[in-house]
Amino acid sequence: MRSSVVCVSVSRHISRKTYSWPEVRDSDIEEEFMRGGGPGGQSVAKTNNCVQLKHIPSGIVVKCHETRSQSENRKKARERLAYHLDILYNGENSFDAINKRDRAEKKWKAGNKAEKIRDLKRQFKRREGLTTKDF
Amino acid sequence: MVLFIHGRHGYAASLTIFRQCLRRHSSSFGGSLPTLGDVLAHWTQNFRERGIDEPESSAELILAHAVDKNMVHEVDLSRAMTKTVAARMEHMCRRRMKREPVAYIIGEWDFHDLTLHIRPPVLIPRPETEELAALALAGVHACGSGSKLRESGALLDVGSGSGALAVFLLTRLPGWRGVSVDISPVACELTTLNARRHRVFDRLSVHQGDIHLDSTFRDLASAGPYDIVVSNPPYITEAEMAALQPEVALHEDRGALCGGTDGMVVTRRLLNMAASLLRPHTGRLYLELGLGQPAEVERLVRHGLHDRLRYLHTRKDFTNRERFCELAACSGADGSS
Repeated sequence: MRSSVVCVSVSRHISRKTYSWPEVRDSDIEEEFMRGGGPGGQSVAKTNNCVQLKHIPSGIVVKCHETRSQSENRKKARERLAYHLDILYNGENSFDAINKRDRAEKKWKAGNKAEKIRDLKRQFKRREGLTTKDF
Repeated sequence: MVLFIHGRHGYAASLTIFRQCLRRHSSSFGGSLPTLGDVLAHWTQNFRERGIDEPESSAELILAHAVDKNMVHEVDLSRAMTKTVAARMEHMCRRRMKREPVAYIIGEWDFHDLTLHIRPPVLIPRPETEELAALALAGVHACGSGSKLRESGALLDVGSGSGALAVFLLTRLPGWRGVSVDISPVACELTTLNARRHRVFDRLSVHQGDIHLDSTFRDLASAGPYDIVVSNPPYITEAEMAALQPEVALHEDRGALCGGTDGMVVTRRLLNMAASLLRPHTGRLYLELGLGQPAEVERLVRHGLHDRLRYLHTRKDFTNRERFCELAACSGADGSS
């Protein structure tokens, strides 16, 4: 009766949704849109809804033209700005840095796992007296 | 030479267009098949030469749509042109050369995270109206945590057009029901189509009618009272109508734009109806208006309607100009409170 040990690795699960991003204050940002002067609103038909955000305290500028909707682009621009402010303020403790470390760790473990499986296979073949021809 | 599988209809026409396209591009690009990038550059240049507004954006959006994408960054511009794409580009870009709005050409546009069907001459939703939608929604969420308002309520969209406001709000307020009204049958069809597309039609009652008529007003009032009345009424003045860009002047519904001499004919009617449509005290009216009009609405309410309506806030749009009004009903239409 063989006893087996189950090894569970605990990795810090970090998600964009639950991470506490730095606050982006409206008073700290200057927003620019691709529009001319004029009264705007119903009098204008415009298709380029690119948004540019300038964060005055840090000087970070973010541009977003990901979607056709101006409101979506504004939202995503703010998210992107928060991402970069996080890196600026938190350095190696930022979401970006933690995420990169998590991924590197996972990759290394996966690499290790592949090697362990290869070793186990080699041992099995030796035990059973099989050669690679038999596979 | 690459062979293409052809459809049953329009084969000769599509092939002619494709050959023209090849001839047009091959001579400048060393005789090899043109790429999507080449075609994008070609049409951007055409638009620029013709003085078409937003030449790059127009060409990018049309090209993306021609390959079933939304935005040009989703397109592999190094891909070779195909007969299908060439034909689509040709037809769509020719329409743009006549100043047709891109949204009408591609038949859709985005409002927040919702893609809406768009058809001429129904008004194409503007970014300002996205802000109006967000304001109305914020108003609901601002009602303290003890309020049941977020769970269920009733909204009215006056002048629904494509249905942008009603559909957006109903997707964000799953327990709510809505009523929409528009004088245009095409707008009502489009509101219905978009409500179905976003699975909120079971909660939306679409009315076709003229709000200046008592019969329409009675129908809407009987389906109330409403916790939210939202509207982007026609607010352009007669004078401004004459100076509109061709995209708007030649193609969008004049009835959705022109608010009479001072731009406030429909707004005034709305203000007169509002107290009878809104739930007393808690009901809110949100309006998107032309520049200078929010101040006029505030003046009108404070001097003529103060026994029935309460002016709450003026809000600015993303250009930092006063654009939106928020109002509440003081009491019921019969004076009860």
